[in-house]
Amino acid sequence: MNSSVSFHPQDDMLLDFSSGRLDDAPAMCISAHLHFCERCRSRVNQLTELGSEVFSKGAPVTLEHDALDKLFARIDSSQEYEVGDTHTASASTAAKHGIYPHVVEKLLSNEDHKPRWRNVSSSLKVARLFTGQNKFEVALHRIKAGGVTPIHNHGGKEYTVVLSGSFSDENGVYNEGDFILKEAGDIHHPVGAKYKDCVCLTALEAPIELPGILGWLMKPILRIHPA
Amino acid sequence: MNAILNSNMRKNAQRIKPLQSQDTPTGKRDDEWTLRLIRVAEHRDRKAFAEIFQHFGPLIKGFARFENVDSDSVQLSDELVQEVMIKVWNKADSFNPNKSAATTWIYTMARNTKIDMLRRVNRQATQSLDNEDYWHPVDEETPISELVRQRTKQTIHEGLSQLPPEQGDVLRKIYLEGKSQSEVAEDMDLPLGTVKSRVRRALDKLQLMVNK
Repeated sequence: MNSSVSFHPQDDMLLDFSSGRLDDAPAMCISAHLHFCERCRSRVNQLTELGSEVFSKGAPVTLEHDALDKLFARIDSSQEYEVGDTHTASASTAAKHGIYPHVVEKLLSNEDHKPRWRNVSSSLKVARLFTGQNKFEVALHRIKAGGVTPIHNHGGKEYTVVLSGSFSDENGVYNEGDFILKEAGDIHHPVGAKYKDCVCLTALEAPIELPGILGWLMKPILRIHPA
Repeated sequence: MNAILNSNMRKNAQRIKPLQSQDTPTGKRDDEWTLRLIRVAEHRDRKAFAEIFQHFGPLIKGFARFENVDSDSVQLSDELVQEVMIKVWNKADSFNPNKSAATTWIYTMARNTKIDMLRRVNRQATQSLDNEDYWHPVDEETPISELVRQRTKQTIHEGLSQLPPEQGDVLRKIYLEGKSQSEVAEDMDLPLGTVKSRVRRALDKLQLMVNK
């Protein structure tokens, strides 16, 4: 897909992702990044092969004596099975049409918790996504073309993956698929690219902080709501 | 149900590439388990499935360590074996031997099912995503990526048992016990830096995490 991805997660994060140990919200961001990034996909696949080899050399533990009978009884009571590699088909369709990564699409399609865009400022909209975990607020951010967002500080970790368009801050220009991690204490000032809106997936651990009167005014809006 | 079975048979008949061993560039992917899994997919072969079960069931149970859960962990382990193996039966048709070996396919299913089960017992009944969703495949099968995958697998297979024991121990804690590097450090009473450098050295020896 996009070979111009230039900001990647640390190897440690990919390792935790592959072993299943990463928290849900950062894992969603990794998953979205993998949709765009061949380099990290290859790394994660290598780690999965490693996990598989460790698994195959693990110590076997004796099963219940009737485990197989139980299983066949279950199979016999329900004779239907899935047909076709539907995942692969839909993934390649998604890639062709340039829509969002699967995790994002699935969160957006949650009928019980329909995400809604709301304005944070004239240049910035946010739509919270319901994920069922309680450590991070996961959301889509839309920065208007050429829009300037408020300079802000981070009270905790903030993971961002650019889903479409691009934005920049003091440290660089981020394009589709780029993965950005801001640590507590990092300050930045994102600006949308000139000609196209930028949509990002974000996972925010603690409320961001705006300096001065603006911060005071925006506080109720910026309070995080993990969901 | 018949409609599903019939459509499945049609699909099998339409497969362009027959799943034969001579198709493979290196011959590695059609290991014995892969061939058995294909028999399960195409013929619902119960004998082949039973053999897969006898081999992988005990490995899955060994993999199913549930620590820090309120529920009975032995019962959960047995439940995981059942959950994973029923998925192997139900989803065998979506197994693509051109993309992974049977062992890797079954391992990823065991890992995803285990994580979902942990979420279920721990707290999160209202999860929006299954672990499988995080691993949504991107279709990028090329002869080169397939060849690279084969080589990677071979290097890991040959290299893992030759790692110094302390590096192997760390990898087992990460992949079998599902621990983070900091948890491994705590568990083994080692500085985090030592654990990280053992992982790094192991990955270097296995030629992993490099751009391929």
